[in-house]
This record gives sequence, C-alpha cells and structure tokens, in this order.
Amino acid sequence: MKKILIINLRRLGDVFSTAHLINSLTTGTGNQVSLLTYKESCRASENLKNVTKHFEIDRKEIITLKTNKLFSDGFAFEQLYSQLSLIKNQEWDQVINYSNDVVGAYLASYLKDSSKQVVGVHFNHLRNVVTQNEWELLFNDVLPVVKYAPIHFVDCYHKMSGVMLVKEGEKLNTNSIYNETAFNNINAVRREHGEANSKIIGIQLKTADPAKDIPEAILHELVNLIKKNQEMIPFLLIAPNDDERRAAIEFNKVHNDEIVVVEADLQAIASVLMNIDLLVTPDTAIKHIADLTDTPVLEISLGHAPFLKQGSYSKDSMILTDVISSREFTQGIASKASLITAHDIMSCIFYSFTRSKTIKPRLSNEVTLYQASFDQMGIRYTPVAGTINTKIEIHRLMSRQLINMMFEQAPDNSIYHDVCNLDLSTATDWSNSEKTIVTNVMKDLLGSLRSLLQSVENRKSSKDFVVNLGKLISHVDSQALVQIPVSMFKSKIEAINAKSFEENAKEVEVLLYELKSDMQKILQCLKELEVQINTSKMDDMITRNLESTKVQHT
Amino acid sequence: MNHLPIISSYEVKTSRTQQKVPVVNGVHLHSIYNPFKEAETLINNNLEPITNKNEVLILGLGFGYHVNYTIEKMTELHGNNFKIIVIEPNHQVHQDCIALDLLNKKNVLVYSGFTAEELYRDLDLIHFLLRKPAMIAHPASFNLYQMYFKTFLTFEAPTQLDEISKFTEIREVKNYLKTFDSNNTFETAFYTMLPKKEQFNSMDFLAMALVEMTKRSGEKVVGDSE
Repeated sequence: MKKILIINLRRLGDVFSTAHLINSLTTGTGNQVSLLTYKESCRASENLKNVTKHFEIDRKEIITLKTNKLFSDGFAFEQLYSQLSLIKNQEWDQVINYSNDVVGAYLASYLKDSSKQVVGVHFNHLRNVVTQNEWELLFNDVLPVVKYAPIHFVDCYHKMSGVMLVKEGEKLNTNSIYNETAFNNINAVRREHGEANSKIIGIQLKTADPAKDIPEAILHELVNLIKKNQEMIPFLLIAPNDDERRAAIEFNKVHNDEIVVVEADLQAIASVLMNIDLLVTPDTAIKHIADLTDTPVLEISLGHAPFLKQGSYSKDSMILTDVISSREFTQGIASKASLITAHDIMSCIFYSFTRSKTIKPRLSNEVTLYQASFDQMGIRYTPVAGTINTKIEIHRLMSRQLINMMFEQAPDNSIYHDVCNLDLSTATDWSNSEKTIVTNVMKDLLGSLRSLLQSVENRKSSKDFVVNLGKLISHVDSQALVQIPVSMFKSKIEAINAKSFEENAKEVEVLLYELKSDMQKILQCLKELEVQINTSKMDDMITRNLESTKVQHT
Repeated sequence: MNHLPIISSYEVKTSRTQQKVPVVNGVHLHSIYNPFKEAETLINNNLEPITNKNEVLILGLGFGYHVNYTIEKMTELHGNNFKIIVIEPNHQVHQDCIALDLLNKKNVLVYSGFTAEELYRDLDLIHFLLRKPAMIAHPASFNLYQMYFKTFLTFEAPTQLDEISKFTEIREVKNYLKTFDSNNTFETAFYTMLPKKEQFNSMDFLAMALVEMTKRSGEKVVGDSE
C-alpha cells in the first residue's frame, strides 16, 4: 500500500482527467491517493472517487495578498507555506506532478524531501529538470517538439508513474438522487417523444474559450437535422450561470422553445450524461466527465484543442476535426476557419449509432473523423472517414511504434497493419525517406563518435567533436522519426554535469552508443514495415488475380 | 500618519431619549436627540450592501447604536450566518461602551486603539478583508477621525524585508526571509535575486512557486491544454 499525492494545478477538465490515473493507482492496490489542486478547481476534484484527502491552494487569496498594497507581501508567502504545511509534514511514497506547469514543478521540488519518489517535472538543487525514466524524458522533451503527438497525456502519466491502465471501475462520486431524477426525467422525455428507444443527443452549447465553440449557425442547423429524425432528441447542455442561461434562451427562441435545455453543475451533469446516448461537444470539462461516465462522445475539435494529447479518452469516442495538417495546436496562433459543417456532425452521429461501422460517414473535403480504440500503449485515434493525410498518419502511427520499440521492446503488430491499410504506396515512399534520414543521422553520429575518441587522445580535436555534435543535434528539427531519439539524446547531453573532460567524454560516448541503438530500432521498425507492405502488396495482387479470374469465368 | 488620533477632550452626555452619547474633542458621536433613530436611518440607507453580503466592516464604534441595529438587520437577512468587524481608534470609547453594556456582541469583533499598521498585521482581519465585506462608515466617527480612517483605507504595507519579517509569525518563513539582505524589498529578493541563485533548497522552491504563481499563473512547460 502506497501513500501517493497527485499535484494538479490546472483547470477543471484536466483535474477530471486525473481520475483515470487515480482509478489505476487505487484499484485493487490499497493505495491511498490524495490530490492537491487550486481552490477554484475543487469543484472538480471533490467529485473524483477514491481520493483519500483533498488539499487546496487558495491561489486567488495568495495573489491578492501579493498584489494588493494594503497587505504585506510576506503574508502571501506565509499563506502558501501554511496551506502546504499539512502536505509537507507527512511522508509520501510518491508525489506525482500531474500539473505540467512551472508552479507544479516548483511545488513538487519543494515536496521532494517529504517523498520517496517524485514523478513528473521537478528540479534538482541546481534547478535543472530531473527525469526519473525515459517516459518522463519523452513527456518533457519530446512531446513538446513533435508536431503530432503519438501518445495521449493520460497514457504518458500512467507510464511515468509505472502503473498499468485500469479502464474498469467507478471514477466519479455521483449523487443517487440526481441519478434517479435524471433517469426518470430523461425517460419521461423519451416517452413523451413517442419512442421509448429514442436516442438523446446532448449538445454542449458553450466552452470557456470561444475559439473552441461550435459556431452557433452550425448548432442551429445541427439541431434542425436532429429534429428531422424521429428517433433522436437534442438536449442543450449548459452550466448554471447567467451567461449560458441567456445564450440558451436566445438559442431556443429560434427553435420555438422546443429544445430541452439541461442546466447542471459539475456533479449533476454526471447524472445527466449517464442517461444520454451521445454527447456532442467541443473540448470542454464536460467531455472529460463523459469519459468518466462511459458516455460516448463525439468531440468536435476546434481552435487549438490538442486532441492528440488530451482528446476524449474512452473507447466509444470519436473526434471530428479539420484535417490534421491544417490544425494549429499552439495557443495564441490563430487557427483557420473550420470546414466542419452541421451535416458532417450529423453524419458522424448516425455513424456512432451503427453497430457494424462498415459504412463510413461522408464528410466535407478536408474534414476527418477519428475513432478511439485502445492498444498496448493506451488510447489510439485512428482516422476512419473524411480526408486523411496519409503521410502524417503513417508518421504518427510509426512514431508510436518506435516508442513501443524503444521503451517497451515490444512492437504492436496492429500498427503495421493500420499503416498498410492507409496507403501502401505512401507508406513505401515514407519508409524510404525515413531510411535516408536515418543514414544521415548515422553519418553524423559516427562522425561525433570518431571525433570524440580522437579528442580524448588529442584535445585539439575537440573542436571537430563540437562541430559534429552540433550537426547531430540539429536533427531535433527534423520532422522524421529520428526527432524522437535525437531530442532525448539532446536532453541527456544537456543534463550532464560538468566534470573532468575524460569523465564527460565517457558519458557522451555512452549516450552516443545509446542513440546508435535507437537508430537501429528505427531501422528495425522500417524493416518490419517493409515486410508488412510487401505482404500486403502480395495479398492485394492475389485478391486482384482472384477477382479477375472470377470475372473471366463469368 | 500611522498613529492614533489625539484625544484632547472626552465626555459622555445623555440624549433627550436618555441614551449615553460620547463626545470626543467636542464632537457628538451620536445624535443628542435620538441615537436609535439616527442609527436606523444610517443602516436603512445602507441596506443594499448588507443584503448582498453577510460580512460588514463598520468604521467607527461610538457607543454602538448603529452596530446594534446592523446586527438586528443582519439577523433578519442572514440568520446567524454573518460577521461584523468594527474599527474604532479610541480605545476609551470602546471600553466605556462595554462598561455601560451598550453593545450587542452577537457575531461582532471590535478592533479598538490599533494603528493601521497594527491592524494590517492581524491575519484574521486580513482574511476578513480579503472576502470583500460590505463597508459602512459611521459618519460622526469617520469625520472626527478622518485622517486615521484615510490612513487605514489607503495603507501601504512595508516592502522592506526587515519590516516584513516583523509581520511574520511562522518561524520557518521568518528564518527564510533572513537569508536575504534585510535592506532589500520583498520584490527584489524574491523576483530578482532568488532566480539568480546557483543552488536551491526546499524553501527556495516554495518561494519560486510563489513567484510563478503571482507573476503569471499556470504557465505551461509542456504542450497545450484546455
């Protein structure tokens, strides 16, 4: 039994998504997990199941104490100290920084002495970032630089914490009265509609970030399309505040006040979500709650919403997005206007209710639908309809495969299969191009290794080594598989503490050999892919021959 | 002007309605005709703020007739769930008010005879102020002690570390502040000098957390998030 503290100083949605890790950490282990959040996020944290103790930092109070001239700045520091004293004065087996921000990293470092192990970003006494394992390195140094994340944050945190994902189990505290009320009321609506099996489609009206909102005109059209279908009933979901209430009233006027509007707080919404058939939502906290109640989600990913890292996390979920190559995931950089239409959303709703999933929805040009599924690493988003940028998807899948090879020494054969299903010709071209890049990296790597050994014998050669190492490290900017191991190599080089030349040279040599081994793993992945491509080509040929034979016979 | 007002004369008179009225420096702190009626008018004119908030800061106690009426109103509005804090510079007036048993003490805390600096050292009062209570100024007291209340309302806490240390009650925090040059301001020590340190200990990390939290909260290290 372990005593674990998770620090999550982010917003409501992120705090809800911590529930996956809490569930995995506590199911059948006897572990006690406590949670530290900002006070403004406790509305989320207090709904999470299996949390032994909730701690909070009153950030607003601390900021007021610091910024208001009436109060001594010292009180701000004293308050922070006091609010953390209960945590600091006990011993933890593990402190997990799930916060992914600078404050969280400093607090994890502050609590280092109170814990046997700190997982996630924290600092050593020289204020250098400490990494405990390769997964942390991947999280800290690779995920921020790769354009299309090969792994979801929830899975990465599981790997960093050394815990297996447990999908089953209740993750939320729900209110039995709310559950009963929601069940009765929603079924009453179904009955009134005349179809006991009517599908209730919950539509999230607003988000905290207007860039992520589904445009109102599209929502109106979507509601009209849903209403045309006798077996479907649209529900508008809003938070209990005046702004959303006003927006819902205005929205409903257009539909003669016929649309059911559900106003629910963060606890009540869980009861509602448990009783609806599908949630259509942009990137919101509600999406994360739906993941925890196993409600199917159709996420409309707009603005900078980073769906590859933080998309809906459940097996029945789907994500509708503008084609990945047109997406901009960095906040502050303006996104292009979305091409997603109400008809696209409606097609995906129909698709989500089909059992066989054989007939794919027809989508607008440059719009893609992803289907979530789980593989050995965790959640995987596979493009199933619409415009698919095969090169990017192949690269994304093979990056995932490389991580499997580098960290787990276990390739996932379904990835090769999926790559081949995308497009054999593009896969071949992509693989050839990757091989060329690996060859170039290998040249620079061997050059670095050679000049390093020479510089040990003759310091004058160290200039050559620096030049070669610079060339090698410049591959971090490559949009190829090599970017992953080279980024990790770069971070490890930067983390070397200055010692004697000989000692540092020895460490660098070890890292260069490690990188060489990773390059060989890339080649191994590419080789396996080529085998699979050839097999698929062969299968194709046989199928085509068989078909032409059949035609001739007829 | 961080000191208490000078009291050159003080006497207690009786109103026509037989209530005691303090007279300070020749100023009657309540109506000499009917202090109850005056208190009712004052509070009824301030009904909106006390309806919206269940915490009230009253500037000036006098003999508390307006405080008692506020308690009455607050009980009507909020039941027992309210709190009133009164700031009164004249400790003698407060003592007499108690001695004459004029003040209803329900959910009331009176700070009397404290300078603004002393008041802003009190964590309970600070927490109360942070919750942004409704504020009612007792006109006679407010006008009489104008400078005192102005100093209270526009107070600027000391910024030098040695002064800040005096405010601090937690030993570990006090000791940590001592690790910086005491002539520095808190701002210079935490926001300029601390990040330049070569080696960081546990308290340094806590201080850096404060710096980041108050500088720009929630800055990202990795990736994006909603």
